[in-house]
Amino acid sequence: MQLSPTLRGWLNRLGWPKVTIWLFTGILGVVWLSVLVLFPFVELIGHLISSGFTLSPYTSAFNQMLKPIGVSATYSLIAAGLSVLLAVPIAVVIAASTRRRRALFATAMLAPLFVNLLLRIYALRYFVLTGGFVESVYSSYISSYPIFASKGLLLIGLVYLYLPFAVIPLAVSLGNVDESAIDAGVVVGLQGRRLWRAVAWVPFVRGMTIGWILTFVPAFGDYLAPAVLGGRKTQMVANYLYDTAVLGGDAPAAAIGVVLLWICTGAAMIIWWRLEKRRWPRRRKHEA
Amino acid sequence: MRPKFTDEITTNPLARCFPVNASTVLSALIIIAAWIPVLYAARISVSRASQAVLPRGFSFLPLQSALNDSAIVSSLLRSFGIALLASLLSIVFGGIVAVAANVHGRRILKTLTILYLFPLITPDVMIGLSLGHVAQDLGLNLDWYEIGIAHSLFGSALVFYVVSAAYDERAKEVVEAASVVGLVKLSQLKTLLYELVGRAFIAGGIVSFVVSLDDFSVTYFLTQAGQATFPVTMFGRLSKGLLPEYFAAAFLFGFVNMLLVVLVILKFGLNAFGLKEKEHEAIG
Repeated sequence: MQLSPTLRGWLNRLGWPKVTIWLFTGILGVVWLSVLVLFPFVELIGHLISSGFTLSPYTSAFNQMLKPIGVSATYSLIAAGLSVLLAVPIAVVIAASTRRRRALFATAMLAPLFVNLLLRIYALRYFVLTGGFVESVYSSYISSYPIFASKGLLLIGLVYLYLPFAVIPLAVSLGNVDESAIDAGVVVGLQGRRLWRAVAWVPFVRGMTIGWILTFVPAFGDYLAPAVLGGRKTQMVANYLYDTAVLGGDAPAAAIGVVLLWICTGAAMIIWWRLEKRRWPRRRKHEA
Repeated sequence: MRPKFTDEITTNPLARCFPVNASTVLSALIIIAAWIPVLYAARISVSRASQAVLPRGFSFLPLQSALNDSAIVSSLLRSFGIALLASLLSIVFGGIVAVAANVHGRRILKTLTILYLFPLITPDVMIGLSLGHVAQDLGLNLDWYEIGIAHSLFGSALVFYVVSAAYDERAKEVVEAASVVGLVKLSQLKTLLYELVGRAFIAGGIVSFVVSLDDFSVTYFLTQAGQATFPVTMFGRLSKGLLPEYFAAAFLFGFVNMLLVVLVILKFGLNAFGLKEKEHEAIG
């Protein structure tokens, strides 16, 4: 693509690469995200304020939401913890093996993530739950007592769905361990656990924290797993919001629910921001 | 002589501080467990039993009857249309922004890295409810292309990260060198950037296509009657009971997704998922 000399001269005077870059990053990036993320949020807040600023409907909506929030928080906390623990060996293999081996393990781990979500979750349900494959075999040959309660199955489902979200950041963090630091550690006589503690502890903890956040937040707001695996008694935040806001048409409940979830996400973002700050250390003066 | 597995492992310096062999056994077990439901679904989808969770016999009839179902086929086509639109928008709003931010420098890159994380970690229910609320207030009749625009929100974030991962130190040095030697024409810069990050654009586009194709929650909160995508149609059907043809259709759909992902990994490497490629030569 050739620009006309007049336009090029004008852009050169302005420093066109800067203009183009600001155009792309500013308009395409920030405005697009703002339109799709911030505008709906501001609109929801506006809806909260404009429909008469009395707190009573919101306090009652909040009180009704406390139980689903508690259920969501409990399940997602446990599921995120289990996911991070299970992610450790996989991330170690992905980070610490050769190219061929890491490609094999990463593909084997990532591929089911992209098989249809519904298929996986219904397959899990029919495979395990009452009337399912495991239960059929179990009741036919071993005992007629149900082997899994629905709450346990929901926890398994959440771990099953979000485990790859814990694996990837942990593997990336471990992959960033400075190899020259490992060599230096070996030279000074460190081995095994002591070497790991000296060289890989910080990226390991950072990867686990980011993996935990990336697992906890979507698990907290998950709709499908509780709807399919949780049974009728287990209602998480997303299911409550769908029932009250979409089916019941209760706008304040929807608005409060979304605002609460935004606060939760915002808290996670702040933790992420602080971790990112460590990843992007401030430049020293002589490097600037 | 072909090197043993343990020999290959020890060539990676990281293996000195992690118990790699024990981790390999554990992770193999976890990965096998993750595959069991997928394999079970595959078996059910070619089962002769009409309505049973225990697969029996072998037949392609479930797949045939799924493909003869007009509601399933139309929802499949709608899903593909939405995913295509979402991935194109994602390439523009994620890929080009990533290149511009990387060329510009670390301050804007740092800000955008945090900003683009937002759509990825925001629960789907929030995105769905917020956008649905806005559409309702603005009186928009949510059509397939509006769902595509909503999907591009997380798709653009995915493309941003994929392209940013590909735009490494080497690419930065090449672009800096090009600017030093006076490469100012847009066509030259375009060619250079295509050589450096063109593959990442394609990889990011495919990843966002797959994620949009599979999305359930955002679509479920936005979909109106008669506009259901394939996952939403399947959810309605599977809630009523297990029929092998539903699993057959879902498996075929999922298989296409999985093939695309494997293709991305084979063609573009693990960089497409933010995992940096490292070369450690095997000894032996």
